[in-house]
Parts: sequence; C-alpha cells; structure tokens
Amino acid sequence: MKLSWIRAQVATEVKERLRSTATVTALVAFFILSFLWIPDPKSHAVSIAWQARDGVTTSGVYNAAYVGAAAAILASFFLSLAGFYLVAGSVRRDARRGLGAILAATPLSKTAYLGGKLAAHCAYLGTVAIFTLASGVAVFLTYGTGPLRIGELVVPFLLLVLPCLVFVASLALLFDVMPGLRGRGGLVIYFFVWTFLLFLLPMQLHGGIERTQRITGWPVYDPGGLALFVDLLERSVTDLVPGKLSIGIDILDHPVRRVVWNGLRFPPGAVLSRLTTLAWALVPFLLSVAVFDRFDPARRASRHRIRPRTASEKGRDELREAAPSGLAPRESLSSLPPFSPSPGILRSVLAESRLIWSLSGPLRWPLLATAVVAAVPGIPGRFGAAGFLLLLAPALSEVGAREAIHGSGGLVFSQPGVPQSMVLWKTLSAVLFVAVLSLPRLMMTVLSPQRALAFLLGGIFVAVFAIGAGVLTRGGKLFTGLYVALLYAAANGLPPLDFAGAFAPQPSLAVSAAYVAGGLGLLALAELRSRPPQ
Amino acid sequence: MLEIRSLTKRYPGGVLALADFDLTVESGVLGLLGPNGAGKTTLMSILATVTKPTAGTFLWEGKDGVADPLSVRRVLGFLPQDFGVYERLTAREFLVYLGRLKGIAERDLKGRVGAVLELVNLHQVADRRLGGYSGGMRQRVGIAQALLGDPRLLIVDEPTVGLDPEERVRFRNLLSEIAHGRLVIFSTHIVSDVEAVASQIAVIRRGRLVTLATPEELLQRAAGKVFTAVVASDELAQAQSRVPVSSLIRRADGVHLRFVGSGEALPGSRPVEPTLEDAYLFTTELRE
Repeated sequence: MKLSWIRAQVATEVKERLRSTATVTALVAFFILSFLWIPDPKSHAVSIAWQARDGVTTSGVYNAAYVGAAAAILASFFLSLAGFYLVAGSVRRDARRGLGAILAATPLSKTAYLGGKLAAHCAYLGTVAIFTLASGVAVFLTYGTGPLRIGELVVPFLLLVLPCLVFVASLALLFDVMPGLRGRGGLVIYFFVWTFLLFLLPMQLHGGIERTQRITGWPVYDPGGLALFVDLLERSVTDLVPGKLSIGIDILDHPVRRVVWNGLRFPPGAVLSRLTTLAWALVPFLLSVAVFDRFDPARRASRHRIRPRTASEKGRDELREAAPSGLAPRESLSSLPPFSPSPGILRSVLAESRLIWSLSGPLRWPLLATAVVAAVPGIPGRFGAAGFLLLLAPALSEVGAREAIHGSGGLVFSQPGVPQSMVLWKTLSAVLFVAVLSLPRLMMTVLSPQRALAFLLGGIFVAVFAIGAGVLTRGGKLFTGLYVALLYAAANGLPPLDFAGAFAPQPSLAVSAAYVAGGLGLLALAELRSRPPQ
Repeated sequence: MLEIRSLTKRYPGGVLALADFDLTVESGVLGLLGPNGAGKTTLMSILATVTKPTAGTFLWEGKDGVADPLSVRRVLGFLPQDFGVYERLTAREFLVYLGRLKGIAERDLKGRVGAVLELVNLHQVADRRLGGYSGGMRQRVGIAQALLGDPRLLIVDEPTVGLDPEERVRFRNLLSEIAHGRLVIFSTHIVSDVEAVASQIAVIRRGRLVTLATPEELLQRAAGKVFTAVVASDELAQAQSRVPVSSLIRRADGVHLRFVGSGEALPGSRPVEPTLEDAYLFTTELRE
C-alpha cells in the first residue's frame, strides 16, 4: 500500500468533509439529540432504565460514568447511521469527477485505493466522534453531578464508538462499489442493514433481546456495541432483572428512581470483544476490494446492456452498435415545425414533477403500490404508509441538489420556465409529486379526515425537508439518513415523531403541522443560502 | 440587437473576470476569441442569465437582460462549456424535460424534439440512456437542446469540444445557416472554427475587449506584420523569446518559423500573407 497516497487521501477527505454543511448539520443534530437522550433528570423522561427487583423503574444519577455510557451508546447509534450517510458516495464522486479515470491509469492498486478511502473515512468519522464527545461533556456540565472524570466519559467512547465507526466506514466502501447498492436505493437499504447487522443480529446472537438469564461469555459479533453495552450494564447493576432493561427514550407517568451507578467496566474479555469488531470490519473491506471495478467504464456500463434483439430488430441493432457520426447534413432548422412557447411556473412544476417520477427508476412501481396499499384501513394500511414514506426518501433525496450533483445547472437555470426562486420551484414540484401519490390515502378522508390530513401534511413535510436539506447540503445523503432515522423512530411508537400520523392510533394534526412549520423554516434557510447558480 | 454596457464580474476571492466590458453587435455569428481565463465563459454565463454581473448590464433588443432575465431566456438557446446530463434518462426524455421548461406545448414537443434529434443525427439512438453516450454524442445532445426552442439568441461555449472533424465542419455550417436574422455567440480558442463562420470577432483578454472586427479587418491589420524565417534547432529557444511564434515546422534545413511582429527581429525573414491565427496572435500579443 502506498502510504503517501493514504496520507494524502486522509488529509483531503477530512478537510473537505469537515467543511461541508452536512457535517455541521449532523453535529448540531447530535448536540440536540444528546439533550433529548439524556434529558433533564427532574423530568419523567429516561433513556436508559431498568426494572429493579422491587419492580421500580430505576436509572442512574447523572454522574460522569452514566453520562459517558449514555453518550457513547447514543454516538454509536447515531454515528453508525448518520456517519454512513456522511461518508458514503466517495468512490462514486471520484468516478463522476473524472478523478477515477486518472487514478485508474496509475500503478495504484485497488487495495491501496480502497485502503486510503477506508483510512480517510475512519479519520473523518473519528474526528466527528470527538465533537460528539464534546456534546457529552456539555450535557454533563448542564445536568451532571459529582466530579467531571474525563476517563469515564472517554473510555466508553473509545471502546464502543470507535470500533463501530471502523465497521461502518468499511460498510460504506462496500455500498460504494457494489452494483445495486451504490445508488440512492442503497442509501435506503443501508438503514435496514444498519438495524439488522449492527444491532438486532448481535443482540440475537448474544442471548436475545428478551432474555431472562444472564450471559456468561462476551459478544463475538457486535459491531454496534449494543450487545456488549447491555451485557456490561447487566453485570454492573446487581438488582437488575434480566431482560427488563430499557434503552430508548421513554416518558413515564411517574418520576424515575435514580441510584448511583458506577458505569461500564471493561474487563479484558470485553476489550477483546470490541477488537473483534475491527476484524469483522475486514469482511466488507475485502469484499469491496473483490468487487471494485477500478473505474473500468466497460464494467460499469455492463449494467445497462441492451437486451438481446430479435431477428426483426437486427437491422436497427447494426445502426445502434456505433454512434451515428456527424450532424445530419440535409436537415435544416427552417424545416422544423413552427411553434409558440409559453413558459410558466405551472408548466415547469409539472415538468419537474414528471422528472422526479422518471428519475425514480425502478422504485416507481413499489412507490405506487405502497401508495395504494396505504389507503387500506388497518394494519396493511400502516405497512403501506410506512413503505410509501420510506420510498419517498430515494425518490426525493436528490431533487434539491440535482443540478449541483449532475452539473446540469447551466442547461436548466437558463430556461425561461424556471422561476427566480429555485427553492420554490423544486418545493412545489416535490409537493405535487407527493400529493398526487398520496391521493389514494387522501380518499380515506370520508372515513377519517384527520388521518388523511395528517398524512398529507406529513407528505408535505417530507417534500420540504428533502428540498431544504438538498439545497443546503448540495446532496441527498444527509436528508436520507436523518429522515429514515426519524421514520424508524416514528414507526416504533414515539407520538411526537409521527409526522404523518401514520402510526399513532390517534394522529395529531398539531404534530404534523409542527413538522411542516419546521420544514418551512429549513426552506427559508435554503432560500437565503441558495446563491444565483454559477 | 445586443448591447453590453460596462459589464464587470468579480468573483468571491477577488478574481476580476470581466472589467468594464462594452460591446454592441447585430445579427450574425459573433466569434469570441481569447486565451484560457480571458473571461469568455463568464461573459457567456452572464448573457445566458445564469450568472449575475457585479456591475453593468446588457440590453437584448432594448430590454435589460440583468433586470429582466426572463426576456432573454424566452429567446435563448444556451450550450454551456461543461454541462451534465441525467444519465438514467434517454436523450429523448431529457430533451422533452428541457422543452417543457422552455414552455413548448405538449402538442408541439414530440415533433420538435424529434426534429432536433434528426438535426444532430441522434434520432437512431434517441431512446438509449444518456449514460451510454460518448462525449461527442452528449455534446450533440447539448447542441440539440440549445436549438430546441428556435432561439433568436444562441450562445454556445466551446461547442466543438468532443466533436470529430467531420462533426465540427457540419456544426459550423449549421451555425452559419442559423445565423440569418439571429445572433449566434460562439466562444472558442480554436481560431479555424471561428474563421469559417464568424461575421464578427471579439478578441478578449484579461476580462477586457481587445478588439471587435470582421475577420477581413483583423487580417488587414496584420498585413505586413507576419513573417517566416528559418532558424537552426539550437537557436529556436532564443528566437521564440524574441518574437511571438504562430507555428513552426522542423525540416532538413532547420526550423521554419512563422511569427508576427517586425521582420528585422530575425535575420532572413520574409513577409507572408497573414492567416486569421496570425491576426489573432498579432491582436493579442502586439496591440496591447
């Protein structure tokens, strides 16, 4: 491996990514989340709690050990999800910018190139993790009791978060080079990979989520660190009833009993368990090296091969084999039919909406199917709504940044139908797209107007969130990451997060309206930030 | 037709791309010539209403194109120097999308798109995804979209990049044909491209207009200022430091230089008829 290449790669990527709006947005989001995750101890909210043997819900006082452990597991959840979206697409970007072709013509091997990328991802995510650690310190300074023991804040971070980030960085590489995963669909698929591979599977392998007995060994496969976290917590709290540990924001109807908990202790077996994650990280990395096409356009184009032609189509095939050469000599502009253009915002909004549909590619049909199923009452409707809201993520994620991503701004923004406010144009188009697809569900209005209206508001929120985040970050990844995480939390029964009223028994219009208002605020920011296209 | 008044563009960071640029032209093909970084692309972006100037304005048929960009966009066909396409769309789908943004009615759109695809000879591959197109084919898609709205003002920035020699000739012919009653602004640093089609040439350097003239006027100005000389190979570097060289050919008797300036600069020089390339070199190197 060429060390100089790796050094250069690390320095460039860390610098470039740290300067991005996406990084700042992610850090602000984490800062806010930290205070939600470790809420005011006087409130009835709690995120790490256990049922003691006397049946009382108990948690720790906010000493450095508790805050360190809570902030570390939050960082592990958050950075393994948002961190992926922050680093994903790096290889694709090299290909798009033409850098890939230049690198492919050098002696740099696939392993060295991807090794450099992995190191850069790790360095960047590690740097972001340091900032998230600062959020933990901020929480401690706000609510904490007792002395600020830096070691108790830092050690859980080092052992839980960092190995997790290496694994995620490696997965991001795999998603970047694997055909079928490197597009917008891959960004959605990752969410399920994240849920299953990083958290559900390790928990299942280590005694199950609802286990009633304590486990004696250490987790062998635990990239997210949750299985080890649960294990260590169970070992360190003597009066905890196994299987009665709750990790996740919970609002109780009574105050939480707070006891002194001395935090996570990492015996050698636990440390080894975390080091094992580094070995597991090699699996996606080696797979990436195996499948990486080294920017060979022939291998990339193979995905778009034209289907075999029938005999009657052979004649046309011959014409298609080679690019037809030259501009047609006998045609002239005056031979074109006369017409009178009448550009306008309505026509442009319709055109953009239709383009969103066209560019959704194969996702269009499941999107349509889930939109229809979402209209069915009961549980099928809930699944349909969840699927529909999920599939909106890849359909809308790049709309606000499409011209920046593809370099088509010069062609698009010089058209007479495009209004002065690109943000307004994109938003209206995305809202129209969502509204049309929501029609089946809206027809439920007769049965449940509140549910239908909440769904419409939720759809509008998705559209404005996608456009606002897209314009601000000039990409679609951060929107996808944050939105999918929000949707997951909403689907798991947190009423304040149910922006579309799709999961709560009684949808709240106020909640949906609040999300739309927040989205409009984001749009206003995007409008302010969007400069005239250069 | 087009009047540019004191157009100035300063980019964040202080780079002055255009400085007090004035120009007035009528219909025909205006060739913009200038070295890299002269300000050609910035000027074209401003005229295409994609970039706003720092100061100054331009009038298109009496209407202020900076204050009222829509009046320009309605008659504009623009081919930027670098442009991206949506690789998952076919050429036809892409042109239909842009046609809608131009305001072409649905009833006219299909025929119009088909016609421009024929014009650029892509009709046989119009339903293939743009991701599978070569650079030259993409460039032709760019040309097709610029012609789609029957523009009265056609701005094409380095349009011949990526085209093969035959395509270049045909594209130049197309521009000549289009230019009747319209204004075509054609930027390039390939002098032979401009020579074939331009009715007027604007030479730009360091963000300023050096001269606006017909090709004949440029040639007249350079008359008597272009020479050839033969120098030994080991004297070449010294000769190049003394005169602006427009071309050189190595032959058995030495290096045959073609240069602009004074015939006394190199011994044994003899005057020759200037080409437009010589005239351009004369304009940019010696007239400042």
